[in-house]
Amino acid sequence: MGEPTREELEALSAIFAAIGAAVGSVVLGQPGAIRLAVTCLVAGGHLLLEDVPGVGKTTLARSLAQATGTLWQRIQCTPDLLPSDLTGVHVPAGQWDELALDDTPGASQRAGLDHQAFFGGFVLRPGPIFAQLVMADELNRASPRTQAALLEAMEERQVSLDGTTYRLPEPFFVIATQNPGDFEGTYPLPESQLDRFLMRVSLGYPPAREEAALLGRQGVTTAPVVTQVTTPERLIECAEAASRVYLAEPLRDYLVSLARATRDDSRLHPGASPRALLGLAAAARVWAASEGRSYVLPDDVIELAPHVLAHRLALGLVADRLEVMELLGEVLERVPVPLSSAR
Amino acid sequence: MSRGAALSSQREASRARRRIRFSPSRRGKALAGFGAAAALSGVALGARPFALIGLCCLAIVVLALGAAAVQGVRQLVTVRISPSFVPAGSPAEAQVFIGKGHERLVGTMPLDTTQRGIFRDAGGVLTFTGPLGLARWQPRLSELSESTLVVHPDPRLPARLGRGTEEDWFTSGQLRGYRRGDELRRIHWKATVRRGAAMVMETPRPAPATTTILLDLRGDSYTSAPPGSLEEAVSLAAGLSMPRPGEPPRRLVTTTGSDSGPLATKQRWRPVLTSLAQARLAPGATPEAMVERHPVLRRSGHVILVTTQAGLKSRPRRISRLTTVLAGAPSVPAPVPGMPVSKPSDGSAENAALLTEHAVGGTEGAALDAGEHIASSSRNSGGSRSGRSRSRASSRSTGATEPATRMQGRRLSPTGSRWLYGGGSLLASAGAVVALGGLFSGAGWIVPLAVAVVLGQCCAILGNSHGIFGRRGGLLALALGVVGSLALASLVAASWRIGWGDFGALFGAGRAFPQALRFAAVPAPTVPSLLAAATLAAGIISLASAWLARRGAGLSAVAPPVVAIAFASAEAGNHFSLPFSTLLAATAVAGGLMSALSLPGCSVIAKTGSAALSKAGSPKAGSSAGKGGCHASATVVLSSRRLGAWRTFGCLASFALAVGIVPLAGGPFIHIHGAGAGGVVHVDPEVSLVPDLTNVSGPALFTVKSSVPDYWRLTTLDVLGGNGFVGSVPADPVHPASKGGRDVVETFHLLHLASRWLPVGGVPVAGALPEGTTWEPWMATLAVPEGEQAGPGVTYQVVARVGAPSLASLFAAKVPSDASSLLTYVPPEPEAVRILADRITAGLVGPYEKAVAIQDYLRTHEVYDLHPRKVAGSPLVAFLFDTHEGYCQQFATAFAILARMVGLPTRLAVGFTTGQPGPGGSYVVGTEDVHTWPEVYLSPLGWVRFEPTPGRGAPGDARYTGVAPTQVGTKGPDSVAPIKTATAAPLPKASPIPVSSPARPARSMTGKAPAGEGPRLPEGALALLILLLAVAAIWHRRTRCRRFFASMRMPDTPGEAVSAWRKARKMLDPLVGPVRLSATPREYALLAGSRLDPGEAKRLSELAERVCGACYGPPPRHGRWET
Repeated sequence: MGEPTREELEALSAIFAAIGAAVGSVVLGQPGAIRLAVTCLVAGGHLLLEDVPGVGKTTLARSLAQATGTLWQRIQCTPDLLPSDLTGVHVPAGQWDELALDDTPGASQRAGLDHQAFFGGFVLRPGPIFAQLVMADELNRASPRTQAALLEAMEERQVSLDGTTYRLPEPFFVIATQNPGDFEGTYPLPESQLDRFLMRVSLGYPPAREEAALLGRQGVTTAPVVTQVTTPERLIECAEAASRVYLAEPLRDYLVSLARATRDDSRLHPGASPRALLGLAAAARVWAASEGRSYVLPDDVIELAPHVLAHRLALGLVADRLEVMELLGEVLERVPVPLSSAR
Repeated sequence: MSRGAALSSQREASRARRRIRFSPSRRGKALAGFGAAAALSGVALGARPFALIGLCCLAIVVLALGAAAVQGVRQLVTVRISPSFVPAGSPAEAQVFIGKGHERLVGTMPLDTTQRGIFRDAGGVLTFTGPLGLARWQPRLSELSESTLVVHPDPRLPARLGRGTEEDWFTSGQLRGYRRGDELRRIHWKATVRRGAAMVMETPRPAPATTTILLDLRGDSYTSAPPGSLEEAVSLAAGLSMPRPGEPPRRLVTTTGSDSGPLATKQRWRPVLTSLAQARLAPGATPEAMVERHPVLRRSGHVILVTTQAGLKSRPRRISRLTTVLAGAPSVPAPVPGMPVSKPSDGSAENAALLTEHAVGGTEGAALDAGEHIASSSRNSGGSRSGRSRSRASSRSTGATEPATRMQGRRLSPTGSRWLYGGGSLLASAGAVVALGGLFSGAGWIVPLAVAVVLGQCCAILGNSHGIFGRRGGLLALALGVVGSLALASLVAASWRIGWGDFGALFGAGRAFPQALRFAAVPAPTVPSLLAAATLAAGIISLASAWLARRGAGLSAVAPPVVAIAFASAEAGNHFSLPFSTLLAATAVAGGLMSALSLPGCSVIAKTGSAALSKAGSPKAGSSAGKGGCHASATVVLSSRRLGAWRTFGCLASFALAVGIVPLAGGPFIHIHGAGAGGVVHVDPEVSLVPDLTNVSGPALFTVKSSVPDYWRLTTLDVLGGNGFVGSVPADPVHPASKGGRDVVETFHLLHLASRWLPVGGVPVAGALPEGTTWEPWMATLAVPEGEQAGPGVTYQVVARVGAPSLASLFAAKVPSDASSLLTYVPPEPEAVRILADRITAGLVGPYEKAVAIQDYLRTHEVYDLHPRKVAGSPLVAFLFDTHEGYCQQFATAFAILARMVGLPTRLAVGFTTGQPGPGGSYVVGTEDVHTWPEVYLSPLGWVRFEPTPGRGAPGDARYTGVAPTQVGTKGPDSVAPIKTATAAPLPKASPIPVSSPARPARSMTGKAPAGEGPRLPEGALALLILLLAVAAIWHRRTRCRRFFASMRMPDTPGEAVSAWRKARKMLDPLVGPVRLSATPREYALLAGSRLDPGEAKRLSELAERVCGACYGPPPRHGRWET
């Protein structure tokens, strides 16, 4: 177990570039957001997209799924969405149907099934969460209960149903979206649940030229199909390679002091949690690997910190967002980057 | 919840507190500091007018603050956004108005908007500066948006923009289908989705149709294109940017591939664009027609892409080559082939102004450029509307923050430079205050100090702007400048006034620097041009440096000392003609005020703070920086046109005031009338010399042949009675013959002089004299016997010993302890005279220094006038404090009394000045040469002559009195010819002169020149050496930097890399200035690279990569990196 080899790194950055190009051919003018999303995917975190409707969030998720060849599902969250709609339900096992045809007395005995088996044989009819890439649209419109169910699945990567635990497929990646402007009839995510998302990214409007190019495709009725450039297995390999990216001792100290600085700042109410720190380190590893480097640089951390940390520090209010960004910027400016002496 | 609530309420409170901040501007602070210091020192020095001036300054600042407060509170600042409905992401313009009833537009600034038309400014700050620039107030735009942000009301729009329902939009009839040419950003996406067709929100007024013309100037675009296509593209773009008649100038030319093109290069394009446009804009050619006709124009929305056949395909690589081509184009280039050349229209100047490049900023930049170039364009974005405001903006903002904005992403705070400028201003003001105070108290070190402070400030500004000293070295530069210019001034003055040999002697005496400083300090009235030249030079240097530094700060900091110098020179130059002094003072005051007012009186500086985390320069910027734009930080400085009139008025008024007031003041600024009626001194020498002095056409009294011109003494007076010097009594000490002097043969021939006393220069040791002539040492006179007179026709010859005391011996000289009290006796006199005497000699130790100080004071403060005004009371008090007019008698007597007051034994000599040079090395002495001068007894040397009368100077004394000789003939003092004269009147006839009735024998000279008088390294040379060393140090730093990069071997091991990096940082830190601790090596390389040559920058960034690998990379396997 050492740092990823040159070949692995090359493969990883090639995959990054390929996914970026493939998705970028559909989601125009958003190379940064795409790269962040892929980073999130490889780092094994989940992504919170916050943006107004119509900027291509779904397109991003779908084309990401198509490009990576992952199985994807979309959940449109509404207030009446139930957890079972997400996870699926247990239905009686398949024999039940056959036995029902034979309604003569003692049929069960004849079939060699005891009563227990007859009535207890339930199977899972999986809900949309049993996918590799799940997109939860307008997550804040779902009821807290449903949110909790989804978030548990996100964290544990498993679903417990009637006492049975089901593993979710690998890789498992959730893209949740939120509309930042809407407040009525929504259930804002509590900070503990915001903490589960590795990154919060905003797409923003595409640049005018890309938007014009978008209009040029007006005649196309169906959404353009993205060619698959990799497989989920390759992604898992990549994640494994990226997790081996070297994080130097001074950088670890730097991360810790960054987190401590946010905690010490009274204006940033809850500071960065250890989970946030882990996430930041994982993301920075992937980011470094995507640049073909086998070690993390402070620049990577500084690059990613706003996306990884800001939503955990914000209280979810739109008005505070800029302020949080500013404060975070201050923190980043304040904390010195250590330069280790040579080994 | 409680904590959150507390936090938010706290935030509210702090926000309310800082809603409007009033503070004195930098200039206001400087003026206030000056005022406070002036008031204090005025009180301390007892100069009431000076204290009043200080108080006035303070009051002006306080008033300005109050006015600003009133103005700021009362004036409603309204920000209106146009167009009234701002669709997502489209550029908008915020207009800032001041006033309630009569609103006044003070400025506009571009804004970025959020998705929903909600205005968001991301922390813009408006800075309003008061009319005199003394106070400013800063409301935050974001707070304005909470309180007074008024979105332009439009009855057809729902009241609450952005919060209305869709029905509002539909029913208000402002939605219509998309038509070709509509701006894409105006598409209403929600309605589009609902209707299933692209819908466009109609704005109530036609939005300012900003047509962006994108000129493709990328490097490779034209390599394969047909020749001339670049010129064609440029001319097309220029033609398109022309407005149609009656159309507002809304088109903006932007260029791609400008990421590395500095602003200067863009400026160079402008004339090319303009002239091409003039050639291109054929009659009847409208932009639309051009777009329709020309196949290479592509139009989407309101963005017109001007390209050639080559298209937008490659990345910018050879920008520099292309811009060189453009810059090399003739100013009026050949017309584009096939295009008719039209004569330049009348509005060409306007058109030229319209052709301002509009730097791409914010989301627009993202729209117009490929993703990779967002950063660069937004970095360059000035967003200003005209070249003038751009230059002003850059002159204001780039100065301190330019390196910061070059820094990608997070910014450096310019605190360091602010401190430097604060300190510099403070120091300059302090120097000016001290200088002015010294002026009022009569001290003499005004001019060199002020000059030094000005030069030091200039050094600091120059050094700072050119990065010579680094940021932190600014204070060092200031100190260096002060010391260096002081030394230089002293050196020049000393070399001008005394010889180098004497300078060495001074050094030996250990008093070289103070004395040289004094020499530099006291302006010699005989050379007013020196003073004027110094003043002029200081002013020119400071203005030039301020211009070079392109900073208002420099100018405003330098202005006070310049004014002070000019004022000081005007004041010190009282002996000038009155109109000249008046003009000088008026010019000084008006110049100072003009320079103070030369900055824009009222300005709006809007800084749209960028999202702190947008990583400009990285490809991710476009999307990751968050929505709502605010990628770029734009700085707009707009000045109100109205204030031009204010400024003109202020200058004129100040000039008029200065011209009007100064003549009224009439000469010296300070008048002390403290002398009570008890004054009893009536200075009136024994003989009034006025009739003789005014008798210019009178007969020649005698002629004298001498190899050394001198003052010809008749007699001396040392008894000061109630009515002045009345005579001499045989008293101690006597006049010794200086052993250090040399013997000179003097031949006198009396023509119209009849006197008991014979004129003689120096101390006679031998001679051929009339019968019975004796030497009376207590009076230092050659006298014929009592009751006789030497009349016309008498010729006599003396061998006189002329003393030449060295400076070292003068400094070492002491007041004899056994001097007769008669020689220091002063009758009762007003206290003011004694105070004046003390003040003149304050801080001086030796008797020689005191005497010179008194001499210089009289020479600079009083005016030579043969007919002084008669005023009641003591003539001495009148002379010193009121009329300031007198001739040699007043000067000599005043000197003697002042000198006696500080304990110097002093007497008065009566005689003649050198006279007019006659034939054969002789001098013809007439009645107008009658003169009186004081002599001071210094212990081992004897009587030393001084010259307090302006316009006179004894030959040979210039070395120690600092007064240049006058009336010296064309023959030099050391002419060889007189030797022959001496043989003509043979010396053997000379016999020892009998000494009559010796009160006491003449003392022999016991004191020799002190040891250590040998030649030494002059102090001036030392100063020069220091200056040279400083220059060499600066040069060394630059070359060391170059050599370092030239010789740097890319390190192979981590240890080498880190040590190389440390070395590079140590060397570059002073060059780069303060760098925040959180700068990573890459960021540092980027920051420092902007100050280095491209090659060096490249090597530095390479080194940064290596050190990154060394510090953060995995441990190497074999101690070396794999290549």
